[in-house]
Amino acid sequence: MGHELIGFLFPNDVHIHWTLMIVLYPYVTGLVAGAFIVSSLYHVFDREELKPLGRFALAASFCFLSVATLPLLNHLGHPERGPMVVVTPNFSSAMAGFGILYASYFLVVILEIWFVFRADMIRYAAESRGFKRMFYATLALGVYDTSEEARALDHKITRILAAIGIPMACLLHGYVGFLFGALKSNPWWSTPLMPVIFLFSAVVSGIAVLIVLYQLAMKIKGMPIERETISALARWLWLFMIMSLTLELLEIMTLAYEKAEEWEVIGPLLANQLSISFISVQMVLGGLIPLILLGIVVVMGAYMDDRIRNTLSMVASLLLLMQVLAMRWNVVIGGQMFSKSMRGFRDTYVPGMFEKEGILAAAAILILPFLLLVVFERILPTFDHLGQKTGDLNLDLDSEPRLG
Amino acid sequence: MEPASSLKHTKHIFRVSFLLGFVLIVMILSRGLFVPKSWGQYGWYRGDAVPEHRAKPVVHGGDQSCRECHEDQYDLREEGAHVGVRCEGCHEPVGSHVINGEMTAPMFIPASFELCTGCHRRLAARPDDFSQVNPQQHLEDNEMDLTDTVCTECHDPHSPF
Ligand code: HEC
Ligand code: HEC
Ligand code: HEC
Ligand code: HEC
Repeated sequence: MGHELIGFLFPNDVHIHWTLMIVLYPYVTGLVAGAFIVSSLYHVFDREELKPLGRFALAASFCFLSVATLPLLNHLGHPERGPMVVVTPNFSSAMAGFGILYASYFLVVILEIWFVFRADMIRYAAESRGFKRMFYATLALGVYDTSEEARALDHKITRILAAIGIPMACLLHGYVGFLFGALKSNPWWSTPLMPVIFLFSAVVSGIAVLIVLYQLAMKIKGMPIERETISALARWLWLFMIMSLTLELLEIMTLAYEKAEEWEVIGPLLANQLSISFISVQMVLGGLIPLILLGIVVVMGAYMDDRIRNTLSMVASLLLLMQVLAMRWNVVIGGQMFSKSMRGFRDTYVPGMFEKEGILAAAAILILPFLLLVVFERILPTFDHLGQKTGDLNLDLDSEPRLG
Repeated sequence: MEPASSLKHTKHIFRVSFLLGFVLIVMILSRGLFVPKSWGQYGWYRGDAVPEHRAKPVVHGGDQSCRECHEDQYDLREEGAHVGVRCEGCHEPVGSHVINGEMTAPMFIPASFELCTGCHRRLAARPDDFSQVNPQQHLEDNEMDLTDTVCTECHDPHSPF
């Protein structure tokens, strides 16, 4: 017939389909990677000042890991298909790649937890009876060997697993950044820096959440907050936040200086739609301010009252937790706010309170890992080995003097 | 340590490895349960999907299929700006209305301004030379209130001017 437009329906470039859930997914995954790296600093690199957190950080990363895929499963709406990612793997799919990586990393974390807590499980089994005993005995897989040799072996395996876990944690979170960075249709995502930015901000959020949780846990348990531990965490946090902030700025600077065609839409995006969440929250409130607060803790730490150090690092950590959330929001939602044609903007996105993927659902998913952590702590206390128990009952390896 | 005694304390490691191996084997074996038989016959999809789809009745007929019975609307559209917009794009496939030349059900009438705004609402992604309006502004300019059928009160859907 020769009419140009036959059968052609124009794209309805209106909606934002990746919701709050897709903001939470990299956020929770990031908490995992950060917490695991802290635990590995102790288990692999023998950072004694992080000893109080060695086990707790491992438990925390396990709890976050258990929840990390929930936002995705909720978004996609078919949770029963989730496990198929590993049962019927598709190695050519980027998203399936995440599932496979996630599952293998989960395995490493579970194994490491098992080897770290094995002696404890056996002790709890020995100390209790009835159902409780059966429970701990099952956890220990029915082997009650707590001999010197067995525990030395556990220790060695723990160290190997923790060492394998570091690159895996980096890969896992770098991969989440890759999922965005590899979408070449979207200039706000498509940059090779994306995996690196995600990785560093993940470590930031993970250390920050540990600082908060450690202080809270010590308050609840009535145990002292170790000065060395907080100082070390603050130092690591400062380092990683500087790198993460620098990378985030470098990315914008490159875009702004190159002024390629995408800047036409990204410039206004940053100046208008994202002015609060990017400039005010991600850069100033969550970036500059913690930078100064932690700088004070690091530089003047030696002269500082413990109370002040704890408070400063607590405030900085809370701000950084918000910063990383804002960064995820700016990436995920920001990247969908402009038209794929790059000629203008779509509707804004305001998550509803009671929607399937709304604020309430997000809050529930965010609270869940902390509840899990409480349960974990009930079953396998993570701080008890810190010299609370009397000598002969304590079969725990970590409380023995370390070699080398 | 001599090898015999070093093996003595590895029982738990064997046990956990055994458990892992067991899970792995169950996973590999259960793959067969979840992968459909005809999977991969032609490519990364179910081979059976091809005959299944082929067996489905054809529901779309194209503009010519309406022409037989609705010459008026067809000719009207030929002359107007909607000449390139297909009948079934606004209505529904002919199969929902006529089977074997017999009308089986009334055709859907898309009487809603959302039909028009779906294509004509001003959006950044659309080419500049495509006619677009900001519906609210357009109705204000023409002093009309928003109702479901407001657009068709002034524009004939088959020939909008
Ligand atoms: C075999 C003849 C035939 C074909 C082919 C046919 N129609 Fe119809 N259509 C009818 C008849 C008969 C009516 C009922 C007329 C009436 O009620 O006045 C009708 C009614 C309609 C109506 C009005 C329904 C209503 O409730 O008032 C629409 C709209 C319509 N057809 C659209 C289409 C479209 C679009 C196609 C092509 C995809 C099509 N028809 C193909 C015979 C046909
Ligand atoms: C732009 C969308 C659009 C297209 C394209 C379109 N229609 Fe319609 N059609 C409508 C709407 C809207 C109505 C209802 C009109 C009303 O209520 O005033 C309608 C009504 C009808 C009717 C009922 C009688 C009438 O005129 O109100 C028939 C028959 C019909 N269309 C057939 C066709 C056929 C045949 C074609 C293809 C040649 C076609 N339509 C293409 C939107 C469309
Ligand atoms: C499937 C997409 C589609 C739908 C639905 C649609 N149109 Fe159109 N319309 C077009 C196309 C394509 C053209 C011709 C291209 C152009 O005018 O730029 C057009 C042209 C027009 C024009 C003529 C503009 C001009 O400058 O000549 C008007 C007015 C119009 N449509 C009104 C409507 C109304 C009212 C409706 C709802 C009943 C409607 N359209 C539904 C696609 C659509
Ligand atoms: C009061 C009558 C009236 C109503 C109701 C009305 N229009 Fe129009 N429309 C016009 C007139 C007159 C023009 C041509 C002058 C103009 O461009 O404003 C027009 C032009 C248009 C054009 C072409 C604009 C362009 O710049 O090419 C589109 C598209 C259009 N109308 C769509 C709609 C849609 C969609 C609705 C329903 C929301 C609607 N109209 C309702 C009277 C009306």
